[in-house]
Amino acid sequence: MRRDVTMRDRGDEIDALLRTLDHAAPQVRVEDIIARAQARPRRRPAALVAAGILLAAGVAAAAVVPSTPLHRAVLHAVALVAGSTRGSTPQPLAHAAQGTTVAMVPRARLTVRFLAPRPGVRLRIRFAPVAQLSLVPEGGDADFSVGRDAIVVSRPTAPSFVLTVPSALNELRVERDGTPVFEKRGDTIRTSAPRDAAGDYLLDLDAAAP
Amino acid sequence: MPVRRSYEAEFRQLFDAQFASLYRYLDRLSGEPELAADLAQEAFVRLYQRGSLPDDPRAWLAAVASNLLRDERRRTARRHRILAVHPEGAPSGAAPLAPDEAYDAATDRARVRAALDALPERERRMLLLRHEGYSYREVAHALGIRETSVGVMLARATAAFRAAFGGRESNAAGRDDA
Repeated sequence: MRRDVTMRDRGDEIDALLRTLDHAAPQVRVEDIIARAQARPRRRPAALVAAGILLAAGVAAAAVVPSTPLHRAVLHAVALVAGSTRGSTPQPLAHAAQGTTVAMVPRARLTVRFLAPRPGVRLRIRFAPVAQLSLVPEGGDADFSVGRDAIVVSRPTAPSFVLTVPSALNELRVERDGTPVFEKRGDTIRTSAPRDAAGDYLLDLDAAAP
Repeated sequence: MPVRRSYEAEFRQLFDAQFASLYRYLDRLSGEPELAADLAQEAFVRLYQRGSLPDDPRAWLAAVASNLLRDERRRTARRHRILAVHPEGAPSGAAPLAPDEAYDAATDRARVRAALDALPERERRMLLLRHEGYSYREVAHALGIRETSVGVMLARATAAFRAAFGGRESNAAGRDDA
């Protein structure tokens, strides 16, 4: 008891000594603090920024390197999130604003099958120096099923599609209800579709034939 | 920056309750009232930007403010102002003093400041936080140490402060006698 009293006295003594150092606190309005905080861009820890950059780089790398476990895991995860396609191994990669967009890194060959396209549906085939193939409906939508070497497009409501193909893809085949309308083997391309000024192939899926 | 209304209300409440205390802690720690005011405000700005209150807001504020002070010290390599040398820093609420009393008060402040400055950084912060009413738990969180260590370290800091202040008091008395 006596010891507690002594310690309290000593604490009070130190309090009194420390109070000799004090100055009146400035008058600061909380509104000014909030205004300053709101006017300033939010700080992000440098480590968090670096981690985000590394993660994005890692995911990007995984997406372009086919047949790796990480690649498959990324595709699977994205497919779970998207969850809008049918088929045995659906792998849509993203939704476009106007409908589902399919994107994938193809292996050596790929077949794109259009089922029951409505009259007037057009397909633009564009070869580009990219690693990823994409199929984008314009002005509508469709159901996509994506397999290992094939994309099946059914019930299209879009009047046109754009198929961007890696220039390095060795074999590409486009079919309409089982009928081939476009074929590429190596450097040889068979189609009756015309090309525009940019070199894209413009297929009318009603009429196109190899 | 979207901030929930409830968070803003909590923040305002915390600011009203803690700003003066945080300022006092920083003022005692730094010996520079203007710097203490700047840093206390900056700590609250960062708390607001955080978007949510931490588990232990007082400890969070003290830790952030202490880090800001350390950064400021590194940046500017400022030296503590000794109030005896800079008498413009009068204590709060002080009534005008007679010249002799003013001299004694300034001398006391200089001794307290010197005794505080004699402590290692962590012990100084610990002593000041405790005498600002922080619990052992809050002190531990603010300093990043175990709560069970606070008691022993605080006792050591208190003894060191008393020894430093007492020694200087003895020296001063000795000079007065001579």
